[in-house]
Amino acid sequence: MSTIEFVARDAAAPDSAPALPAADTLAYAPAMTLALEDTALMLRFRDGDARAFETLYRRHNDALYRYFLRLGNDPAAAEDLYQEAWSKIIRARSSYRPSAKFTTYLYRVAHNCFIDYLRRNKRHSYTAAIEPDSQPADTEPLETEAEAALARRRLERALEELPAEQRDVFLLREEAGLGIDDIAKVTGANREATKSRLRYAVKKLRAALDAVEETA
Amino acid sequence: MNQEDARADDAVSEAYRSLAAERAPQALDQTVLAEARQAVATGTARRWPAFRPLAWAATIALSFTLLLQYTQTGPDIPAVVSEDFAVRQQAAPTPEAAADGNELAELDEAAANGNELAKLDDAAANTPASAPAVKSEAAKRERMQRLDVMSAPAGVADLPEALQESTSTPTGSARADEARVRAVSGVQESEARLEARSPIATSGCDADARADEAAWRQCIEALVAAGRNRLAEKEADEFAEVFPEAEPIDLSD
Repeated sequence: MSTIEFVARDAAAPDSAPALPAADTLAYAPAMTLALEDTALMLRFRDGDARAFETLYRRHNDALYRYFLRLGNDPAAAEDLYQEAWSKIIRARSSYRPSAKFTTYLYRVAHNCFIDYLRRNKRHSYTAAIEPDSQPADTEPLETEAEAALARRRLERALEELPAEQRDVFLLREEAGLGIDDIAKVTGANREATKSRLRYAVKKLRAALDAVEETA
Repeated sequence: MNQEDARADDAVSEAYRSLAAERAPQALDQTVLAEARQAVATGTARRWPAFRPLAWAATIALSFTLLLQYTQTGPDIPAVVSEDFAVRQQAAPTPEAAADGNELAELDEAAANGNELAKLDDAAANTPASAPAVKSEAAKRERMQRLDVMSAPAGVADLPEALQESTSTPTGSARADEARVRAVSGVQESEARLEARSPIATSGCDADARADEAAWRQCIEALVAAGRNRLAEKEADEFAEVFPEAEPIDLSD
């Protein structure tokens, strides 16, 4: 995990760390600065500074790409959605208001793009499981894979098999670094539903990891 | 979340971090950054701040012009509208006017009461002396009709006749009252018709409209078209919160 990712995640999840000792508090201080900088960069971009956008983009591009990649399980669609989301951010810069964290704004736009994509492609359901053909077979030669690789593979598969709402919430936490409240804002769900989805997602993924450990 | 959940949480997060190593393709990076540079180069975002002082100057100039016009020529017709009904109540059913059988008497009495119509009469009196009296009377009638049209709620096209009758028929207070009752019922009927024609004009956008960006946008535009600007502004604010990336809705129409 890069430093920026670490700091960004912590900055975006204040509700997960309500009381911190002094040493940790210091670690969180730059996070607040970073959060402010995101907004400031966007405002500078709004006023015509293209380099500010580039800095902002470099901070969030990979995480956003992975969000789409895992959310839709379709690399081609992920690329389209990724480009569409950034295009919307660029086009709507003149109406940008720093009323929330930039990350929340960015992933709200991304989430809306994905919902629109699902509407355009009705054969994909938000809650549908992936097609059986695309799943790796259970009979793959486990003995030929390293334990870590196997764990990753199982986790990836478990992630794909999650209901899309749960996957969405999990990815928003892991990739965007958002806390429960911000995830609820992005997805338009209430706080309790969001919390519940995240708990179920983690439980299922944990079960997949445990299965790997038992196999090993 | 208890400690066991927290441990599971951390383990899953750690495993996911080791899995998620994909990076955005460089070609996409180049495309997005080029789009951003191009958007800045076109200067659409910069143009607005540059034109803001000009817009303020234009607004101030326009306001000053309107104020000047108001002070020089007296209140404009819309200023009369707010007091129009009271004027009619005072002017129409007086016995003197009925006895004279002359609608101009009503206007003169209204003028004596210091209402806004009096100023219109004065303005008419200031027209060139060579203008025939008949023309002056016709002008007064026309102004009365205009006032009635202006005083009616938006979309109520059939009111002037009824309202006009309430002011111009000098045959006693009974007929005037009857005419007023007809006028009020005409207002109610017309409002009902307006609602029936355009239900969106009296209420905000429903959940179906809000579910989709385009549908919501259309609904807000319909509100603007129906003259429900406050409601449209409120809807537009909510729209901007839900779809922050969407183009702002133009409410100026």
